[in-house]
Amino acid sequence: MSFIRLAVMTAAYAAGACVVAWAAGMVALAGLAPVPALLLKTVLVTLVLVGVTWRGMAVADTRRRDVAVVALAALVGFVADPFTWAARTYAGQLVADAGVATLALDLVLWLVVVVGVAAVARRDVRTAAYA
Amino acid sequence: MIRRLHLARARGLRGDAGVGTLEYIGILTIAAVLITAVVLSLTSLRAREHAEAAVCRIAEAFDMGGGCDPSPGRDPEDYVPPEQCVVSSTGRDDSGSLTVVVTVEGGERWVIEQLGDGTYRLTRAREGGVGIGVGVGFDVSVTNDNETYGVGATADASAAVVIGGGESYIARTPEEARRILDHKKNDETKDFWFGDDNPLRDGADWINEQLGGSNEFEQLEADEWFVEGGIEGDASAGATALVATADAEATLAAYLGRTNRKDGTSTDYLRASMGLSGGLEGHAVTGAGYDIYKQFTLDGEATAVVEVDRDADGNPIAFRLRSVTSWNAVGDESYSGAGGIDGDPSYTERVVEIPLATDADRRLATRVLHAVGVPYYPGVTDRVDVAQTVLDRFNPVDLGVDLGTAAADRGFIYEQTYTTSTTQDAVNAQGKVGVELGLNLSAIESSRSTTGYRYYDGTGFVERPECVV
Repeated sequence: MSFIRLAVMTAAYAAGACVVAWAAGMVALAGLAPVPALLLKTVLVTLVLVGVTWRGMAVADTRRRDVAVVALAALVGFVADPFTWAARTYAGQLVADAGVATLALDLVLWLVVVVGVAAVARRDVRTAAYA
Repeated sequence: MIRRLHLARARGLRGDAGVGTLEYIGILTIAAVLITAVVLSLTSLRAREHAEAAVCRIAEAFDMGGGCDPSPGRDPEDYVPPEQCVVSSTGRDDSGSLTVVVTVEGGERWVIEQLGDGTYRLTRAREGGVGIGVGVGFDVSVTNDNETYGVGATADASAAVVIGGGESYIARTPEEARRILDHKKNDETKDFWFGDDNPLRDGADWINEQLGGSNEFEQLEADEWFVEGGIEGDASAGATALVATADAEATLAAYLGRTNRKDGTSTDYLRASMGLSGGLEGHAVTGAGYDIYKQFTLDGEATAVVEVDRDADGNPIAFRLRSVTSWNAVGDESYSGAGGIDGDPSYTERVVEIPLATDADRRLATRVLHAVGVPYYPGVTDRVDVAQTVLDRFNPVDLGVDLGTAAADRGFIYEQTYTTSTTQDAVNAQGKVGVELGLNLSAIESSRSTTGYRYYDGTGFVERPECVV
């Protein structure tokens, strides 16, 4: 997997998650209650993570280590997302006030989703290539 | 095994008996505070009024003049109560509770009051509590515009510990008060979503302004804010049969709180209230086949508040006794539903205030505090006169006269009447499925109009027109 592809994925993780979290925030300001708004943000950020990872892994020559490399790109994307600086990246606020706990929870969820999707996408791409 | 069960049951009953005794003491205490405070406020109001008026009239009847003059050295305008009067108000109260054995409840409310000086006061408050109750039966009902539909029959009793707080802002117009309310709500959402002070929040505020929005009042400092905590109890029984309800309810509450102001001054208060309500209301069909709404209800409420004002250095400077009473009986029917029935309750609020400038003032305040069951208040109840306390307990009328005389000479006495109107929307589901279960959501919109306001001006009671709608 090329460095440029990884850089694009990193930027897409950070910018995509930030934009959809912002959009959900606007919906919350328009009057949606906090919990439904947080659920909306969680769904939208998940779609971004799944979409970027799946699209990024859609090359025929992916190797096993590419999953780890994509996880690293996702980690950098997580750190680059401005919502992470405010400890409000993903679904953590559903269970705790913004802070260290939500930061840790968001990071774990973020990586679980990316690594899970990357593993499935790699197997899918290899199966398609063999076929 | 059976013996163990009996022992366990006996232990349980002993425990229940203890709780019952505590509840009983709690009810009696709140009732004593209420009754004493209401008696004191009534007697203090009337004693001075009647005595002065009688002396004045007799003197004038015999052409002897005098007697009607205010206290020496006190101008007529000095008798005008310093507390801002509320002319009218509108507000909303949203609350909810969830019961799974234990009840967790919470709510928030806001009210915009038009004050006598032409300004508007926005108050926002939130409260939360946890409680426990026992009951039988079930209820599933929906309330829309005060009309309840559903099925069920319940009888239950509950008690809860509640804490709350809020803040107030003064606005020049009702529109400004509304904008402050909207901006403060936005501020809370932004705090939750973006944080209070970081580049993300700055960006959110900037974009809001670029889109034509305003953040003007988001960081506005409150003019006053309060925190309070207390207990609430409720016992009720009722039945809902599709479009008609029959119910009876008794409530009681006691709160201790403090209000702080921007200028450093503060007010400590103890508030106790009791309410009784019940009746029959719902839809019926007339002989001619028309739908008609009937309401036969009786509501009663009494609230007493003991307040101590403190200056910016924390020294007690004024003592106030406030009582609010209301009785409202409704027997009416309407072809246009609950909205067609004029059942708005009317309240009478009486306030007696004395300064805490001298030892005599503090002794009098101490007597009142002891009479209503407050054993100690820092800076006021420094001396305890057990004999006087016992005397006042048995004869609160004399204490009321002393309080009224002091308030007439050096403090303030005033009384206002107002009506309130409420519209409620709610859903309720409760029952016992092995354990107590329940869910309640409620939204109440309310308004208030002051219909009368009078204060003692040194010679008798006079109206205060700027405080009346």
